[in-house]
Amino acid sequence: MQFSLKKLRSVFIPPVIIFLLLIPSSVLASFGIVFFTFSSHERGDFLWFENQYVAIGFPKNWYGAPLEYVNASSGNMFSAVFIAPGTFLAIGLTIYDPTATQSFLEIYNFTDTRAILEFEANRTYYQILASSSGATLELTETGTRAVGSYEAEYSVYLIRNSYIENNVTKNISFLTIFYFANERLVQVAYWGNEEAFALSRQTFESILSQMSVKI
Amino acid sequence: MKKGTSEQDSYERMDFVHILIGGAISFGITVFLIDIVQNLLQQILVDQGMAGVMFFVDYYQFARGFFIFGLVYLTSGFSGGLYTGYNVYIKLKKTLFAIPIISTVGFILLATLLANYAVTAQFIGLMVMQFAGTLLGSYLGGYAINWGLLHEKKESPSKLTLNASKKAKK
Repeated sequence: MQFSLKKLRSVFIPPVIIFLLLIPSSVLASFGIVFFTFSSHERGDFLWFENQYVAIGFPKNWYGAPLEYVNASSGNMFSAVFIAPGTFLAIGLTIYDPTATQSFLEIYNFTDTRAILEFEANRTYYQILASSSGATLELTETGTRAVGSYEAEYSVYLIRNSYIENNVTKNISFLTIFYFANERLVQVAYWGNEEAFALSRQTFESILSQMSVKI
Repeated sequence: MKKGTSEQDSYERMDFVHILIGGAISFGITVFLIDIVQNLLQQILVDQGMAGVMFFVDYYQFARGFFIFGLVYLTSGFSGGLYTGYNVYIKLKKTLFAIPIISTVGFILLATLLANYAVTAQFIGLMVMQFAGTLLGSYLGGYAINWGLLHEKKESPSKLTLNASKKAKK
């Protein structure tokens, strides 16, 4: 017993004790920050994010990444992508400030949101077509709808034979919404595997109804 | 082989080799562990249904920084420090300072030249953190392995004094 205590003493010397204490301390600090962030942004089933462009809630278990493009001449833009775990499903959001909206409309010669919708649908389709030559584009739903206090144009497309997963050809459903919140152009896109898209449509509607663009 | 404490007070060629090996150990462990540890944190968040926290980039980077600091940088510095401290005893403070330099410079070269990372403020922050963590780990490792010798060294003059005073009394 005495021998082992001596041996223990020779191992647990101050530098080793400090080292062994610092590791769990830094891990605890890390989890402390994570839990603080989580609890301070938690609202019901969603995590709530707010910045100068938007206030938006999203499911707690979805991955997400925000991006802000700042350009003095062509204006600023905020983008965010949210990805559902374990399936091919995502929500994208882009908000252009008034200068960026003007630049975007001028570059592509757009006059209304309907033209932007068609442009985006074609662009997405041709991107998929580049990797999947048998893909076909099918418009399944289109019209206007309310997003907050704004009237938005929206379309839902089905892109058949978009990709192959486990030797099975899959379809992609793609919903895109455009509207102007005062002079800010807002784009919301929701896309993914056809089945997952239908299953999580309610979640998307819930996110959309809670979202508010700051003007 | 540990060298004597008093007979040598300047570096020999092999000391530099051991310092380089110590730095390489630290660098190697960093490269090996960094992705594993980053993915581990992400996996923990996903398993706990908290993946959304990653959207709050500033907070998440802080959390990830602390996580990597303890599990990767401290550990790699400690390992490099243990090796170098065991093989090079002289000028321990200066010797152990070389470990984080080698490790961090190696990592910067790897990230910028091979992996084409852009040198951003975030990257510089990470490198500063790597340096600090490896430095701390290196000193802890180097002093841990020499703890016994350092104490012998400190104790020996007092023993001499005691003996001398005893002799004087006689």
